[in-house]
Amino acid sequence: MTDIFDEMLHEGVNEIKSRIISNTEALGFPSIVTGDIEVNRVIDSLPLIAVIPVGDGSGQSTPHLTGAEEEHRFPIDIIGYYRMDEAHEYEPIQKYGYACKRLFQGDGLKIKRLNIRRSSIRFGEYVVVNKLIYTFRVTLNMITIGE
Amino acid sequence: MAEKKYFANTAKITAGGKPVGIGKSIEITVEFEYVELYGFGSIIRQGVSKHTAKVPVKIASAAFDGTFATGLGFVYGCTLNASSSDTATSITDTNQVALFDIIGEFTADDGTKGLKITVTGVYFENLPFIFSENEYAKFELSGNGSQATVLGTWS
Repeated sequence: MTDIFDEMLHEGVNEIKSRIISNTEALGFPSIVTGDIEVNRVIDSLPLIAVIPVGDGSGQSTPHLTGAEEEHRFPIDIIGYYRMDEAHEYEPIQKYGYACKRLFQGDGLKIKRLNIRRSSIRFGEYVVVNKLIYTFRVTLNMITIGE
Repeated sequence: MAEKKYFANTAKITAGGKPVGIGKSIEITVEFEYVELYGFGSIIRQGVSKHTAKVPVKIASAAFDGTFATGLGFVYGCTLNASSSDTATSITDTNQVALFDIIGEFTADDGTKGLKITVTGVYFENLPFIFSENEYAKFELSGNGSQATVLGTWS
């Protein structure tokens, strides 16, 4: 099998979405989209998780001494959006955020042909159209080798 | 032939007749040991001679064939077997040593084929398997050759 990078990325993103779907209860039954979203447009359909391949639109690749394959390093962002009623109540969003992060630890470190080098998590709370939104953002820093 | 500039990433490396995939580095050094002559009455060197010519080679790849059929995996398997052409999956009980030819072909940045270094009679001292967390494994062989041939062009 030739390792073409964008095919590997597509395969990996589908695996991430599949893991989220398989664990929908622990994640608060969210819908799933690929790519960034505008929260005010989808505010009535939350909770929602957005999987963003090559987060921040930025990846790096390093050629090798021989051959056409390169080492690719890039982030994948998984952002969860949840509507809640109480301000400054972080327990539910942390529960969902860490449940999501656990999908990519231990046996989950390998996402098809992509590998996780490091991961991070952030939480946010803000108001959109007079509605209280909580978010988590799991960033997976990936590494793989492909053309 | 004019002097050329070389960007390493265009190299083609062959070890034991097998192309090396995902090459990470290659180092070839032609070495001699020297004996210098000094004597009474002068602090100036009176003579120098050399002996013990050898060609240390280091080669590293991020790709490995666990069946020992291709690339550096083939060299690993042959070294276990003490044969230049046949592999083994464990150490063969013999004093014989597998010898290989290492060929590095380097293309100048103007596209001309500018440098080909062939090292013959290379034996590898050890077979490391090093796996570090959060990184792709790099398979790095270190050995000694008996002869080096450097050509400015090749076909």
